[in-house]
Amino acid sequence: MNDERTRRGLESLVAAFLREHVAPAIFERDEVRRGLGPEHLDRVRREVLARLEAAERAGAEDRERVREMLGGLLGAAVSGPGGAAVLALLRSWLDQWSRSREKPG
Amino acid sequence: MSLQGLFLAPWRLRDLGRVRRIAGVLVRHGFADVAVRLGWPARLRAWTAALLRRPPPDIEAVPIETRIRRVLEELGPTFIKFGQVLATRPDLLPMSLVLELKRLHDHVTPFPFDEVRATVEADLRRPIHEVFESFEEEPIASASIAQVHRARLQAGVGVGPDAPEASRDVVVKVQRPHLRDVVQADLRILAGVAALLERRFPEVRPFRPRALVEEFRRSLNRETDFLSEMHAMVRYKRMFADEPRLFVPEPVPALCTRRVLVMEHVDGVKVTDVEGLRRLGVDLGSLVEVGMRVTMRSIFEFGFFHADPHPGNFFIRPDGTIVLLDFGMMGSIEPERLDELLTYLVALVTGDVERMVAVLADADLIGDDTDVRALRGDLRAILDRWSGSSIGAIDLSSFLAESVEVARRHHVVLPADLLLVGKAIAIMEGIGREVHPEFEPLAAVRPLLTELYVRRTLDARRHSQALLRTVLDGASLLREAPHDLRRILRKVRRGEMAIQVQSLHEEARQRGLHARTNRLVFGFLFPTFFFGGTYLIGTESSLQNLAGLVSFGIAGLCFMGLAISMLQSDGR
Repeated sequence: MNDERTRRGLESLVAAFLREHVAPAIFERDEVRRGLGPEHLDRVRREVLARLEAAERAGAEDRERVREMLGGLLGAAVSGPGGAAVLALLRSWLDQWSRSREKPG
Repeated sequence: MSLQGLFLAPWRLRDLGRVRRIAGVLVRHGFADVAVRLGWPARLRAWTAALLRRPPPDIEAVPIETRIRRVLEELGPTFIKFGQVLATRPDLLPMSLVLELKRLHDHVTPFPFDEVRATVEADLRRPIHEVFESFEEEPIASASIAQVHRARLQAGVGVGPDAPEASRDVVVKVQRPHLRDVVQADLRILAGVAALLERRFPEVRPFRPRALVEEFRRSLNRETDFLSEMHAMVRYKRMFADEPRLFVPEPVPALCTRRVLVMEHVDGVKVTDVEGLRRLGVDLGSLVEVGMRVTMRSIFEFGFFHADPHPGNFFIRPDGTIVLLDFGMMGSIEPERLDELLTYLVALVTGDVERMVAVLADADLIGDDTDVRALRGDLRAILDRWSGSSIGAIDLSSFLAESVEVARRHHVVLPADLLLVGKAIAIMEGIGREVHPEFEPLAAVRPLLTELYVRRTLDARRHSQALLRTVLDGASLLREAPHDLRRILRKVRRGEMAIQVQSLHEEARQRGLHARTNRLVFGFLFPTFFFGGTYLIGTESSLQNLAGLVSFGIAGLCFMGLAISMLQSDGR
């Protein structure tokens, strides 16, 4: 669970989420724009996004492995009906999210 | 436990001499009233006062803040350090006292070289000349915890055979003899006094003396353990491996113990020697910028920072590199706290009051008795006032101090780590302004803080590690939950489930019950002995007369007991 490939895969998933859903909101924040100023903001944006993209690429091949491991771990941990429901929800969320990301455009 | 208890309790007998010394210093500086309120018997107080010289008659004319500082200075390293820690708590203490405590200095005379040699040889388990080719007897620095000597290692000792020749020039920090024993005794006494203060002085309770002493105990224990300092140096060095303009001396781990720290010697000019720096051709503006960047990164990127960055701990090498020394007092911040702190400071320097208050509320720092609307209003007033100034004119430490003062006024007790951060930033600002008067602290800090905030918020590695921890915790919880639930249900079925309820008012109720019982007993005994006495007295038998007198005496005592108990009850 704690091996290098798992860490890379998980980091890749998180990096993709941050880049697509969190970063735009952060760079739009008033205090960030005021605190950095236009040029500095632009430089930080480029650097941060490049870093997230690099993390995404570095662990792209290990993402599936992470999904399987998370599923396996939860499956092993959960035996009751409540746990199974949580697992099913998590799986469906991961699938949906993956499908939404694979859509062209 | 009263101060009398401090004298009498068997486990504290070993501290008796030290307690007496502390008591003497308190009396000498006109704090005998403190001793009385601590429950110290008047007779003992009079005896000690006579024995330890009466306080000078004009002592009351000296401001109380000054007297507190003098008491701490006279009591030595532990109390000086404690005062220095208190000086970082403007949120808890009145500003007049904080300013006075900031003047605390540990003026100490160096200890003799024989003791230096004894400590080094005992800890390294070798004669000093086997380890060091030369060892200067005169220290280059001396403070309350330790003193520092220059030395040169014997070839092949401590550093590898391939190490450069210059790496054999070292400085050796040696702890004062018996320091740990004195410090431990002082800490025990401080803890006892803090508990007493909290119990007997309701007006002191909001300053949380016990928590303060506990915080201080942890910090001082780290500072007096040089192995901990060595690890801090190594960690700091690793953290800033990518910062070419910061240099942390390399310790020599094989020669470091809890009382001896050996590290490479580095030459440089003191950061406040502006003329010296100019002669070296150092760009002062860029120097200050690097110092501020390193401070900010250490706090907000790594959560591990130098909590005592006073000018004496900075040297500048001819190439403009900053050499950082003395890693005894380090601050660290938990990652969750770091997020709150960073968000709070970004809101502060960008003038976002709503977010500032929201962070304080999320961090559970706002008490039930805080008027949030008034707090918001006061914070806004500060920000409005500062926003009228040009960014260069804004004094960052005053800006931070004012917001801490507002927090104090509204009963927001700020965590110690946050105040240490404030202190570190304020000291850096002071150095910056001294070295380079054109330095604009807020203009420098604002983009740095905002950039760190953005990078931290969008740090995929940090979030993925946190996620992994949460998943592992959650999995463990889910795995164990059915088993735990089954155990609880089994206990309930068997009737073995016990629920303990503790009333917050139980102690007060118990005290009331004792007082009522006492009154009942005295009330019963008084008439018994009184009427018994009247019956016995006036008879012909002298023995019966004597018994009658004794009976009256006991009745009198019972009456006094009854009266005192009733008066105390009224007082409550």
